[in-house]
Amino acid sequence: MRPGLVGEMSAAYFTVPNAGSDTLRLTGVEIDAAAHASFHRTIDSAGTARMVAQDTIAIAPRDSAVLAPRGLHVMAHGLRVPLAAGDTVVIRVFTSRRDTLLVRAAVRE
Amino acid sequence: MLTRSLLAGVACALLGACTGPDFRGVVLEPPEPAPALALADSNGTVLDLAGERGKVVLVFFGYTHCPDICPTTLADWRKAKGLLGDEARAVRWLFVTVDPERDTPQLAHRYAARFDRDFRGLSGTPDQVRAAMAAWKIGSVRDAGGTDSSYTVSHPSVVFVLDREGRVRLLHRQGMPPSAIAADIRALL
Repeated sequence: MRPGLVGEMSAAYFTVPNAGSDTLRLTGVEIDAAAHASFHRTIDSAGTARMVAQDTIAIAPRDSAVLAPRGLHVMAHGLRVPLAAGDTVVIRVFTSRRDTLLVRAAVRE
Repeated sequence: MLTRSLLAGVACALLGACTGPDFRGVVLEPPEPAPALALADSNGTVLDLAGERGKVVLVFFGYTHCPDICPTTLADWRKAKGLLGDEARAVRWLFVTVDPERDTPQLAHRYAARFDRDFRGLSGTPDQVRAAMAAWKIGSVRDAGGTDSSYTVSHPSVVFVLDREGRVRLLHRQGMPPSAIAADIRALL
């Protein structure tokens, strides 16, 4: 997760594997440290970067969703607390299995 | 400028018509004089690009609420600057906002300087920023959705690299490793 000051944007990156035999869908995300969090994908086309909101992220069986810079990511809007390198943030990811994945993300520069 | 420059760079690569250093970025041939960039930093000082002749200047148009591309680019710049060591003294790193409605000169500069104190953030009034973007022949669009405080903005993803004569010589696309950024800068110094 990227560092930031109160009120700023940040982004979180992580990998979610799907070890099951059915497609797994990530349906939502929450971060206590941010007022709002959502999935986005950065599209870089013809020299222009734009962000496209992703309602869900589908993960095929035995595949993984890789959230990484310049691609899929969690956009965290309105940080409630300052985040500095070394901090840890808990991210809750909701899935189509109706369970919640807990991601402990380290804050890094 | 952007689309034409990208096409020129591709043609240059395909035809093998470009001579000189083996750059990793897209080479503009011939290089074009950089347009003016008369925007202010946090001290209210308006940049004079002509005063930067003799330096290699990197220019990136982004915005401080950008969660992904902009911080990734500036983080790569910081790594490239570290690789350059003392040679980085002859380099200028300019972060120019495309979102003057939210990014004051102070906010733009604070954001850029957070990555490295030598990075300079620039902004101005909406009219001033629009004029600068028109001069550079680039655009930005507020994306659909969001609120007046949380919207995202489509913006150029490339970095303009100016040579010591103040000409736009290279375009750095997203994903260039810091070592390649540093190598291009070193070749221009």
